[in-house]
Amino acid sequence: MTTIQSPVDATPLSGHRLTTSKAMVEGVELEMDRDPSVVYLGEDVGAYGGIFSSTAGLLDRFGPTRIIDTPISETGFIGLATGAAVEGMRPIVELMFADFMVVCLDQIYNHMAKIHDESGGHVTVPMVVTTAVGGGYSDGAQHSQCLWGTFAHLPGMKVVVPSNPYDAKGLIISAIRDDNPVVYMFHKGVMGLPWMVKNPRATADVPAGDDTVPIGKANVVREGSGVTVVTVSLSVHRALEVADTLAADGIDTEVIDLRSLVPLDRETILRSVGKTGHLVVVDEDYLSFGLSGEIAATVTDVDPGMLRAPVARVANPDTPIPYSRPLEYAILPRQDRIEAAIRRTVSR
Amino acid sequence: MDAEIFGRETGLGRGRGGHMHLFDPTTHFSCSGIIAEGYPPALGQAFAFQRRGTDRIAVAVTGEGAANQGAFHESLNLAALWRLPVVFVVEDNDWGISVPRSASTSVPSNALRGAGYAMPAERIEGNAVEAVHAAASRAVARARAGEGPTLLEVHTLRLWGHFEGDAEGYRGDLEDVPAHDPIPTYQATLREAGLLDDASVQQIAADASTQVEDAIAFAKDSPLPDPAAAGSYVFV
Repeated sequence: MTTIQSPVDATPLSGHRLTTSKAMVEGVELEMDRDPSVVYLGEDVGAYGGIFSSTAGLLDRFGPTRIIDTPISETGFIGLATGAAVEGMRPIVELMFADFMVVCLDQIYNHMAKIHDESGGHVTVPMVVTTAVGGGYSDGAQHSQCLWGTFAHLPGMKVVVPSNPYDAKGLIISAIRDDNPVVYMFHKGVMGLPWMVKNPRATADVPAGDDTVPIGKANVVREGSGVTVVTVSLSVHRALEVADTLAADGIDTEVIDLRSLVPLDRETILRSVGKTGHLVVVDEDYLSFGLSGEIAATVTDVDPGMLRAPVARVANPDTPIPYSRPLEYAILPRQDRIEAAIRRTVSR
Repeated sequence: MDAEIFGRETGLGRGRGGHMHLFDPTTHFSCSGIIAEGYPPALGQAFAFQRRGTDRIAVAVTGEGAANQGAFHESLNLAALWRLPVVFVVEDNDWGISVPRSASTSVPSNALRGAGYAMPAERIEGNAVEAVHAAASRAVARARAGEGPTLLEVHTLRLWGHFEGDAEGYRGDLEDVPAHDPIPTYQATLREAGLLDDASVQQIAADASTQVEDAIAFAKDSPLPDPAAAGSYVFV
């Protein structure tokens, strides 16, 4: 139970080992080969290959007319992608850090996400916004946020958050093919980058073909009967480590990787909590008004009687992410906080 | 469009969009309720047209108040950088709701701002219909020839309040307005040239009235949307 890179079904992998970033790039490459209307725009996506390697090698493969470096002008180029999607292209547009959403939120939320609805369904906006999220490497309060709760709160865009190479490839293919705007959020800590904290779970077998991962389907990455941990992204890796530690003490932990926040697979959450009666939500995003509250409400809206103990939430305690390492580690949902929350929950 | 303004199921957006958010894919028309933020999507439409090798171009229209927004400047830079087939039109009516342009804008003409993006720009004064047509024709020809965007500022005046019922208490130039209305002014020009007479003017006015009355009648006769379907078009 130490690997999470299990495919969705039992199809044997034809087997090449890739980091999450290379798996993402491979998915983009396959779709660009298949569909000439797919282009990739963003800051430093060309010769640099994306500052978190989300486009490494694509410029050489497709040239500057399809892998397009933009000015530092997010309102301009994200709006441009929206207009191109309205005209039937399938642009992928990179927002270098999710934190930068606020300089272009009007284009993301008032335009990209609303046009389909405002047009009464007559206009579609088939585009993908890729963006890097997450902290843990002293990048401070403006370059470390997850903010998926903010994106997921605003209707009209799907939100997917892969935690591993298999899902990174399968979800980017699904996102590109989707006729809705999809926000694809990759944590820097799961990409397998040589200059980040080493993460053995960021490299895994990935099928060579264009296998997709369905948007809106969570993955039970570890089965257990005593407590359910619902989480997403890098926190999946941490939760799995903690689950292994707790197994020695007889605590049998089930870990759910949500993979998609919009649409949210509430059925998988309810099935698991119905079985374990204990729920811990781990979220690297802010505590209040966010994902952890939504997961708790998913259960209590249906039947609070399922819970044999109060829901525990391990999240950023509503604090801008500090720069200094001990301060940053104190607010991130790291293994120590996850372990304490699970022990507390199962003891009640 | 009228049906949409009346919030009817037969409207362009089936009553979801309303008067500020109109989309007609048959004509590639769209609009935004956020000042200047309609410019960036217009770039994308131009980008798609350019890649398909068609002679289609995008035309993006705002008022002069929008020319102080970031989205305006980002769009001019990107369009010039990538030589996109766009014509930017700024309708300068001297007023941003209640604030005169002298209190909002650092330059006497937004055409000066074209230089900041190495973009040809013109300002056309005085509701001069034929001068506007000529300038627009040059801009469209440039865009179609692959020479990139043009910025046009058309100076006009606001004939009515910012909204229906705006008492315009902040405005002192109201008595000058009727004399500058371009429709009667240009009608007089065409009459002098012998291109219009009483009969043709009456015919044009009658046709226009009929068209508007028919549209309003269609809107009023159309059904309102089903409240249970409010969320039907959030996703495809």
